[in-house]
Amino acid sequence: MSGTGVVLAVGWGDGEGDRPGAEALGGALAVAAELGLTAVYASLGDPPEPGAEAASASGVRALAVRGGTGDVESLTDQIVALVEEFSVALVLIAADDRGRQLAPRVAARAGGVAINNATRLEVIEGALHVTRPVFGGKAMCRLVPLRVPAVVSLRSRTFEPPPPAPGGSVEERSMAVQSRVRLIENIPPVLEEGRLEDARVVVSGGRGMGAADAFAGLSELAAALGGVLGASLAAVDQGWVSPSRQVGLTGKVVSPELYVAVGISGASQHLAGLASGVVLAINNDAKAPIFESAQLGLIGDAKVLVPALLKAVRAARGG
Amino acid sequence: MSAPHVVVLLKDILDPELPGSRFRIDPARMEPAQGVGSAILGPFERSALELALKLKDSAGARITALSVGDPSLLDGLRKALAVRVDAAVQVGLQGAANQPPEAIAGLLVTALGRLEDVDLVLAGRQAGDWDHGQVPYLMAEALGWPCVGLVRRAWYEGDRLQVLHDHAGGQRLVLVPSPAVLTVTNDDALLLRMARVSDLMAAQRRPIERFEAGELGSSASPPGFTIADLWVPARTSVCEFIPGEGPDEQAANLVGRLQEMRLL
Repeated sequence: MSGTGVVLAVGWGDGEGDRPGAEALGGALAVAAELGLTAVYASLGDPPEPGAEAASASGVRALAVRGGTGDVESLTDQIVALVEEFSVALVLIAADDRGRQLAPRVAARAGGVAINNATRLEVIEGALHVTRPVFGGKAMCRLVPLRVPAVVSLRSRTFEPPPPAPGGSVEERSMAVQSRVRLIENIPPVLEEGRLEDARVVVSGGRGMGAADAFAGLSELAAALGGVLGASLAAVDQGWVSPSRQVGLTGKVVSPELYVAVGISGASQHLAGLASGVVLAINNDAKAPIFESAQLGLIGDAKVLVPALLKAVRAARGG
Repeated sequence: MSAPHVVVLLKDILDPELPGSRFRIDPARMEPAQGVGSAILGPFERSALELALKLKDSAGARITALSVGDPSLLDGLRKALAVRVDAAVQVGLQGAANQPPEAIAGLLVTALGRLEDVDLVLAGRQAGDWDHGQVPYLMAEALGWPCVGLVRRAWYEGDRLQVLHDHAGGQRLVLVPSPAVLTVTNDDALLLRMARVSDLMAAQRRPIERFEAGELGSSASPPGFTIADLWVPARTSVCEFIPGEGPDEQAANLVGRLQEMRLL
């Protein structure tokens, strides 16, 4: 992969504005020098996500690309065109809903290789090594791409956005593409709470919460901790919480600094949704498997512990 | 239009509910140790199968279940036959579950060419084992077909396929030309229906057509990566149980600990 090519970081505006793209750029700058590549940023989407200015402030050439529809078909066409124009050896994108679809499609069309859900990039003896979880997080594997471009989607918070640096630029350009898929209706997200994937704190409830009403207290605790509400599959199956809040293999994968699991037994299906962070388990069963994956534990009845914890957190925060 | 031919891709995977404490790998082969757990039909493949059955109910779709797998692993295909798909086809390949996505996509594309005109391919959004999440997208690119991901509903209006899918945290209703590839996500409406007992018994007797991977002459590109390492992360921490006489003291002690750890 070493050579005179480009590592292209791409953002398209899911999540907290330009944060996913900025994290991809942070990854690009972390490996560019060792791989002998130059970092370039591309802001895509409809309209282009706002990351181009910030990327240029990090000292890189940034492209704000207009003309796409923001769907996967359109983003694939645009990224492939950029890969060909810039002799791209490595593409870094967010492992969000669109990113995980884009990686294999771009790689297939550009003759490269895709790796989804990376949690670490390293350069060992001049070669890129990509670490990712497998088998629902029960194991990790380290892969070495054999073709270029390598198109790697990065899990949230794998890298931090880069610091300011001089020498960057922003270039506006138009790149019209047509999707074969015709949009009939766009149903925007219901933003009753922040996105699980971006949250620094997630407070999730499981079957042990006992009833839908108990989740109001968990939402308050999540807010007091500066986080958002999550849930296990069991709680979603009971109809206590919206499926959009589910953490796990068949739900969202989260990467918070603190994950609070309340009344959750710790099934493999649920643990597959935890990519990183300190796990605090609150459960009245000291033998619950969740404690095997937790760093902090509180044994007791959630009905009394959650209000007590909410009171203590608010007091500590001066609220 | 005539009844659409829907091919649903199935994969038997290592049971995702296998506890982490029982998971083992074979370091020499860079794959899960033999016999570490049972193989079951993956959760997203179950959703894809149910969506295919809904298209059979609503549009008279003819369903072929297609799988690349060890010749001895037929759980998913038998399950599909039990819920009355029209045909089941296995591409026999030893160790299929641990093959790279390019190899599987290449075999599936070649196998599709052996089937009668295919209007739609349905696949789970990812196999819940290696979680590459690539095969249906690689197939769509190899076939030159449009592809829509994370689908929750699909139905025909005349000969036009309408699809509701997840997009950017919300959803989109789109019109998809045929033939196409859809990847299916889990949804309450896509819980796989129960098979009738008589159909379960009949499924054991129904034929499963076999192609041998070696005979298909797949045009798959060689693997795009090597596995440098595969390991089970060591458990580096032991749970620290926060003491306290009663909930208020427990909560206060916990908040103090979170502050020490700079998490609050």
